[in-house]
Amino acid sequence: MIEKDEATLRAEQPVAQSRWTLVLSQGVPWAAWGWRAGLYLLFALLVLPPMAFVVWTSLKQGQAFSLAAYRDIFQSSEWPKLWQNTLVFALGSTAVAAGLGLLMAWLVERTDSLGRSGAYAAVFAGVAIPGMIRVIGWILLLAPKTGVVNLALSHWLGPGAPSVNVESMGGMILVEGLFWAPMAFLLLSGPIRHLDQGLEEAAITAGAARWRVHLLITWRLLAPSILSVMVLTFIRAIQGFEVPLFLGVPGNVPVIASSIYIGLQEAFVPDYATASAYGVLMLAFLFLVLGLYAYVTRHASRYQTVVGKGFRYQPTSLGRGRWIGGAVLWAIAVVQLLPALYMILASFLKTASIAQVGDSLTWANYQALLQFPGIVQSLVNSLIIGLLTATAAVLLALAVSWAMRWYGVHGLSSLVNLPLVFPGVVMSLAMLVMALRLPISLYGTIWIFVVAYLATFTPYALRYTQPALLQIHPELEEVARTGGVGQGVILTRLLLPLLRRALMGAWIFIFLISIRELAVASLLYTAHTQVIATQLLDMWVNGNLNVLSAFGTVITALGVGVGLLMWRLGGRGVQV
Amino acid sequence: MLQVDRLVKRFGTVGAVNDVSFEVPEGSFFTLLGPSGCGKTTILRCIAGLERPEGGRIAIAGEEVFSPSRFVPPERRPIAMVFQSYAIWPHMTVFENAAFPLRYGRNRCHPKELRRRVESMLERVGLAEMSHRWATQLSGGQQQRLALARALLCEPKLLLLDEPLSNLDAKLRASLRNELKTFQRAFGVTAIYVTHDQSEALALSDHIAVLDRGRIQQIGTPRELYRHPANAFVAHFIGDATLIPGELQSDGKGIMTPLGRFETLGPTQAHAGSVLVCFRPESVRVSTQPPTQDIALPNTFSGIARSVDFLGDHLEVAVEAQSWRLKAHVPNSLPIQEGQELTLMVPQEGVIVVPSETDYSEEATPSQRVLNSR
Ligand SMILES: Nc1ncnc2c1ncn2[C@@H]1O[C@H](COP(=O)(O)OP(=O)(O)OP(=O)(O)O)[C@@H](O)[C@H]1O
Ligand SMILES: [Mg+2]
Repeated sequence: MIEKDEATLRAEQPVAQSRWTLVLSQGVPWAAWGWRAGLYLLFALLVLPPMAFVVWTSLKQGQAFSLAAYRDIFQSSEWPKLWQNTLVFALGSTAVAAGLGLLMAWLVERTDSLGRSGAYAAVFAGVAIPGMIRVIGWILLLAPKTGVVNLALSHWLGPGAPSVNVESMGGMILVEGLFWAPMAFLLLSGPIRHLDQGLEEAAITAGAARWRVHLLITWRLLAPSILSVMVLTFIRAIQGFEVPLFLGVPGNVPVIASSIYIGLQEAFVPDYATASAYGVLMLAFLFLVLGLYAYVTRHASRYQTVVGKGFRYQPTSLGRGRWIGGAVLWAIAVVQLLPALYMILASFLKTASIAQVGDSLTWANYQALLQFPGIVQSLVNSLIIGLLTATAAVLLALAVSWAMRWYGVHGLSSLVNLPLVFPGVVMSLAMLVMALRLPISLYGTIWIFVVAYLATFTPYALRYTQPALLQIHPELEEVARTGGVGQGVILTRLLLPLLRRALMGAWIFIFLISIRELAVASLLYTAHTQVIATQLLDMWVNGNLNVLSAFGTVITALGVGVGLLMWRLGGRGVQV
Repeated sequence: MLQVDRLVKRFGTVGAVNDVSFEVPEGSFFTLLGPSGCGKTTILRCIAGLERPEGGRIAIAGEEVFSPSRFVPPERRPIAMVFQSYAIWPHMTVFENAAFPLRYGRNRCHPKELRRRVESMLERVGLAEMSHRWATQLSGGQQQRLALARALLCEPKLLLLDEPLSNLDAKLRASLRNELKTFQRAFGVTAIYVTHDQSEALALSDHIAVLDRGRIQQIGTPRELYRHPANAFVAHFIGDATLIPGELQSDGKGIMTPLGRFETLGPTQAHAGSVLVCFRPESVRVSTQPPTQDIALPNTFSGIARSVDFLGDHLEVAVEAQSWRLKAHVPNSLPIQEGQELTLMVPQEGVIVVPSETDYSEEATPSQRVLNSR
């Protein structure tokens, strides 16, 4: 073989430095640097400019820099109220979600309760039915004057009848809590299942009372898992957009996320500085929460012994309570499904009132929907954006996990995961202020959605590709390399086929969440670039609720179809 | 065929391989033997190019594949490797697994030729009937044969095997061991074999390199290693051995030990001062006669039988002589009771003298002065 200089040789072949990750201790191959630099640059460009722009905008008053926007916020009369509402809303929904999730997990994993499939039906409803649809369904059911339940109540009980108002803080908390209960269930059922029964039995045989064992051992051991679920739900609720917008705005319960949107929407001249300042405050608060959480859980590994061997817990016998347990699980599932079911019914009614149910069911709403201006365009836009986003996100996630495996590019994942902290509406605002300042015209095209969704959703794709790639034993690749097979063939013939399920799962999940995303889209659309979520929002603001229901039904059908596809791929789509 | 010269590989600050050199002649079966964690796999992976060493030189078939200024990647080295996990691709059939290197690897060939070669290879390893099964439907032994077939189809000049038998049960292991040797001979391929099982190494190898803590302790044929271990570690790792410290006497022939004077036929001039006297259980002669005054004879000492195990064709007797414990193999006709006093004699040809390297002094602490209990 001809002698070549070191640099070319290294460029040709990055070297496996260790068995699991290739630690680049010395003699870093150029290809590794290429990958590293390329991916860092790509994600830095995707993630950092929006953040920088939103900070910059918040500090800009005309030509000068100033803190005026922040001063105005802190001095305004709504600020204490806004802040308090946001916290109460987030804490309340966290309590509801964690409480329901824990109840479901306990019933399913540790008791002989009947009807456990109810829990999974609830999970499925949570994944497949877009949040926006569920909120609108609740409005159709429980709005103060027009909600069908309230109409029925006053119809039967007369004028003085009690009514249920979902457009209130209590309603918001319940609806948002129901959003996240399935996720809490999934995240808690693992730790509860693996809780080593021996640890409890050791305490019981030592003579401790059962309730004390539960208090001292079981809950103490579960506390870290519960805490992490609560922190996650809390962050999700702070970021929440649909519930504050659809329920909080009519009910006059403003929170920060909704007031960013409303402030920009209602003002004659949009005040980007104030909106951005709100966004920066939210981001700062969320980083603070995450930092605190990391600090509190820095010794978390101490609890790792908790996840014991595969001993199946002897389920607690509930006796008669088995029926009650089953009823509770199915009730939760029904409550998850109810709004969408009623929306489907309403889409076949002439008016929003259920009084006419007997009269006639009609297709008229669907015909009206077809004639509704822009509806078809918004569907097409959403599908194209979904296809592009899902494909690009999966490819990016694959590249990132591949680079991590081969070249030990570990710091990259925190950069990729950064957008998880962004509330959707803040991401939307950030992309908007960035696009307005960029020389290329992104605003007014569908590409702005693709870029924003890609930044937001790539972390989710990473949750599929990274564990899947970790599960592939390195020797499966190495044996091919020693047989003289190049990296290209290894990637296409060995890794991709082995990763197929994970990649498909990731693709479908990203597609599903991007065709229904509202918060990130909320500030990015124009009359010509509607997506289905923003179209639905427009119809809600100034339209007919029955036609809206027809549209919602179509979207739900789409979501359920894609959700079923995902379910068949092994139910991996339930990652949050 | 293979030259490894002063190879050094570190993981962080841990030196996994320190200054290892050896040469493997063409067509031979060479084994790297050593306890777990001694660096066997690491050496093999350096030869394959899956690890980049910190220093040294590796040449395969006369071509330098690694030196400080040169690195040939694994895909361009004339090798094939069989991994401990077999690394059978689960999404392919048996046939596709075997054919993969011929389709995409270093030595590609025409599809017709490929089919013929793969089929004949599967025939030879006894997998012809299952060539269309999914690879995951094979048993452990079948997977191992598939891994071997796939490796041989690469037509390597050097076949690297990393404990390919360790996942199998004892019976299968013994039969596949013979098959492996037969294949290696039939294909005339040079094989580097990694194992921590000394009986496997002794049965298969032309040459063995015994490793400990990343260093080669001795290289030789199985016979040489067994009969002339270079140091206490080798003596102790290959077969059973009793090691007793002593002082070489000025006549150059006798060694004074706590058990008396030992004499040997073997060379001693290479050593000086403190040495170890080493002998194997089968060299120890045991007599139930009570000791006489003749106990002053060289190579003779007395001891007490602590346990007697019946192993079919012979008895294995654990003897305590002063504070030393040692093993002796005696004919099964000898009526030995536990607790009985015995006279033991090691003939001169059974006495091996090895240097008492300080490296192993920690193992010679009074509490476990006997190195024959592995
Ligand atoms: N990727 C790695 N990173 C850090 N240390 C490693 C790595 N691979 C091996 N080592 C260390 O190098 C030493 C030699 O490991 P190696 O795998 O070569 O041992 P081995 O002789 O094959 O052992 P075994 O018989 O158990 O397979 C061990 O101490 C091991 O811990
Ligand atoms: Mg090994």
